[in-house]
Amino acid sequence: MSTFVKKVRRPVLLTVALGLALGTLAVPLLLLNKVDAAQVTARSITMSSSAVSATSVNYEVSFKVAQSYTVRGVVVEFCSNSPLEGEATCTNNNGNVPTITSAANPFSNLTGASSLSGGWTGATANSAHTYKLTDSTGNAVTPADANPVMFRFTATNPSTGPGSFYARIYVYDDNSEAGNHAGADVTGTYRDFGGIALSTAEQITITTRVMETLRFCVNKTGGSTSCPGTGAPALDIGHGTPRVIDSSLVDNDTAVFGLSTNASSGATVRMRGDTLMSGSNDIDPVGAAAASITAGPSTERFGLNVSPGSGITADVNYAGANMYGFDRLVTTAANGYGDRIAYTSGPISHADSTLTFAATAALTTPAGLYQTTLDLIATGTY
Amino acid sequence: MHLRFKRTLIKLLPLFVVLALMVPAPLFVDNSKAAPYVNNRSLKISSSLPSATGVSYEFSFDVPAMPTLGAIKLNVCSNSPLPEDFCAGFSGSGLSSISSFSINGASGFSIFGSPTQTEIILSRSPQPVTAGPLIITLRGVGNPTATGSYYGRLELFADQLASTTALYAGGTAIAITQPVDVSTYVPPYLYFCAAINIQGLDCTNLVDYYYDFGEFNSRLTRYGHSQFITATNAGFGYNVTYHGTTMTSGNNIIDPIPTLDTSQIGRNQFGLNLRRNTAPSVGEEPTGYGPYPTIRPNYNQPNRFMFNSGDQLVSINQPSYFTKYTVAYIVNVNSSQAPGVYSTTMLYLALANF
Repeated sequence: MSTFVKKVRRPVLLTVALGLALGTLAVPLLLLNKVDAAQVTARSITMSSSAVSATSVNYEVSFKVAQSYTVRGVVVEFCSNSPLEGEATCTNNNGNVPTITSAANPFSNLTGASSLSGGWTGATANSAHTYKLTDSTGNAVTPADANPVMFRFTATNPSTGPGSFYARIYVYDDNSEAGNHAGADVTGTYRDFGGIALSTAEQITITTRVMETLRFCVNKTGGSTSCPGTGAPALDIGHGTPRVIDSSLVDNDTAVFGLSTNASSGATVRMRGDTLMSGSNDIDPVGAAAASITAGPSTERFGLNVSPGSGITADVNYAGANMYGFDRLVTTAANGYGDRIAYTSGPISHADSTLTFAATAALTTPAGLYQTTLDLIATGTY
Repeated sequence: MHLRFKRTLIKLLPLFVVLALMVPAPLFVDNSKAAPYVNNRSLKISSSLPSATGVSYEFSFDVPAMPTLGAIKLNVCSNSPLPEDFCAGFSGSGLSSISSFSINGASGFSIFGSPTQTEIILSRSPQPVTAGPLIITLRGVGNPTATGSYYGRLELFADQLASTTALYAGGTAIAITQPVDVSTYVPPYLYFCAAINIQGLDCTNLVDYYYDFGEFNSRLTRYGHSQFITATNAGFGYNVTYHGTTMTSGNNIIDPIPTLDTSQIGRNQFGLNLRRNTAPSVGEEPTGYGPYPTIRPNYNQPNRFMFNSGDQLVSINQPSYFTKYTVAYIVNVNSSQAPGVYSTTMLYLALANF
């Protein structure tokens, strides 16, 4: 046995020594494609949507190189299993990684300035799971550059998930080497590299309910910012003490209605009720069309003028300075809903509108206490 | 025992968890079942007064084309217009007092069951409906007693009993608010003045209260006039009387004309009327806005005069605008009339009947 050992020791040792020597030489050969490579810094890929299967998603790539050289190619390779550069397998089946749908316009709509510019061309490879950006001229970059390397492309997010997926970034100083990139095991000679993890996520679904609203109030004075205003709308028209109307003057008194609504088609305010009455005697209303009221021996009138708040329009029959209307046929119609006095064309925040009721008596207007109760009705159309 | 109890608890723990998860479930609103809303929906009410009764509620909306429409559920709630929410009631009869209803845009509906304060279901045998406006008017509704916002809801069902999931829905809002009370006072008035001349119809423009006939002559008729204006808003009008004596000078008098008569020269006569005369030429017709009061017959014939203190000159049984009357006086004397200064004072009295 010892003779045999002696006989084989030398060959074995020589073989081991040779193996070690060859092995030492082989390590640099295996690392030849990344011999000067270093990891890019400040690297990120910003997605415009993290929703599963989202389409037309912008992927904005940003990083700073680890060395100073002229960049002529960048490859972004999506993998579902690992971000580690140079790893033998990069799993990128359809559905597990993004599918690039547009490689054009790599520098458009970036969120910042890129250190790359000029005639760069974007392209896809590997069933559109790999993005290649190349330019034979390239741009000289350094780690100290203020602007990072930035570019973008458009893709459809992975359909599986939500979950993580990865991108491997390879930076080349030779555009043909970048063009030769065919996968994790055939990467060509690159200068810098980096791995990035990305993820799709569940979308936040938020539900809220906005109720139909209609806030309407009638008061002596307005509420300024909201309903109700102040004071009961009990109007006493007249002059002197006690307050009376006669043929010498046109007297008036005011009330206010406040209105706010989110009705998309606006709101309508109608008035229902009769003219001033004293038993069977009445004060003649103005009529359907707006008209001015002038005192005189034979003039007996009662009418309403609407001075609308912001966003509110007075009906033409009740609008205009010193113009009054009161369409008794409509305001007292049986089974009716009253005469429109104001309206909005859409939603409105709170606004106060002034109602001016005016009256004058003729010489022949029978004496008495004249009264009426007017019902203002607001209707929103949603 | 203690250990066995623990094991029992551990065995029952999954059951407790399941029960705990099940209990709160009904408290959450399942928005996934919310029906799509109909458009142009509104609820128009004929009165917004609190506690008003006999009010018409008009639900209006655009119904989409539906293969079957079997029931329409309408609600009036105090809390929310959202159909998936609980419908809170209010004080007032609400929909329970409905007397009738009508529908424009669909037919065959009748009230299903008994309406409650907050809900009514209109149903029919399911049948298609074409797209277009649908207007439902409910009559006899009792408004809430309190002011504020209230909400209308509507839901459309394919089945007749409104027991399935609503296919369409919608909400509206209404406002119950206080009314505007307007009052004014028209005072009673009687506008009346008298003078020899009154310019226009204005009692502030009175000219003279004294008229001089001059010297009487048995061959001439002396005449003159005075005027008065009257207006009133008295519902039953007014009348004007005059009071005075014939022309006297101490114990001597000029005879008044006791019955209608013409002016006769050479006779003792003192009379008056309210018309334009030609013999002699004195007096004017009434002027003003009308309606003109009636001149009493004894003073309403031209060229015929009379004097009887206390007689009514004019009257009207309704309010009257300004009217100006001219009182024409004539004086005739005979040749034996005692000399002297003859005079009289005429008092005109207006009485309004309110």
